[in-house]
Amino acid sequence: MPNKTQRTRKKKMVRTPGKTSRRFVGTKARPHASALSGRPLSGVTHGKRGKVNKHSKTQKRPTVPFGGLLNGPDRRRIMEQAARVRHGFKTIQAVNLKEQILIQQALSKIEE
Amino acid sequence: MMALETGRICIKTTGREAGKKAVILKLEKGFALIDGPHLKRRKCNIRHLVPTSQTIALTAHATHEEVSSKLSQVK
Repeated sequence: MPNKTQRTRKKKMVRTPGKTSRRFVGTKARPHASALSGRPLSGVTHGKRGKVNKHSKTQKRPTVPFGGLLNGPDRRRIMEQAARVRHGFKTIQAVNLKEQILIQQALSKIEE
Repeated sequence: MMALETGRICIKTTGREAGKKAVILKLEKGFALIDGPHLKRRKCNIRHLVPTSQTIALTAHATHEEVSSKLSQVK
């Protein structure tokens, strides 16, 4: 199998006045997905390779906790559960095992 | 679950300020005016707040400095 950089790109047929020519088009990266639910993340920079590198630092930087890892509804659920655990309304053992690791990380972000 | 009322300490669960402590200064239909030491005073959807068991005595006219000092004294 060829390297990813050496793969043939997608072919696109373009009509010109003289003939129909074949051009090679780069593939665009799919949006990143949430680590919990697998749903696409919104507000995360993605696109053709090379174009993302030209974005500014602030455009490639997360602005919310768990930015680039969780989508909005998942992040809200994790922060809510972590706030309840921190203030004694719930124990961490009562939480779904898949979310326990993320809630332990979120506990450091919740103010006492 | 605790009731949302003026002076109730809450944790914000969404936005850049997620995880920060806030105090409710005023309640309107579906929204609350909140303030805190690491937050700006602004309106927030009550669904984005998780109330705690603590309250402090405050009025809606309290300044940002008064709110910050009272919150920092609460453990």
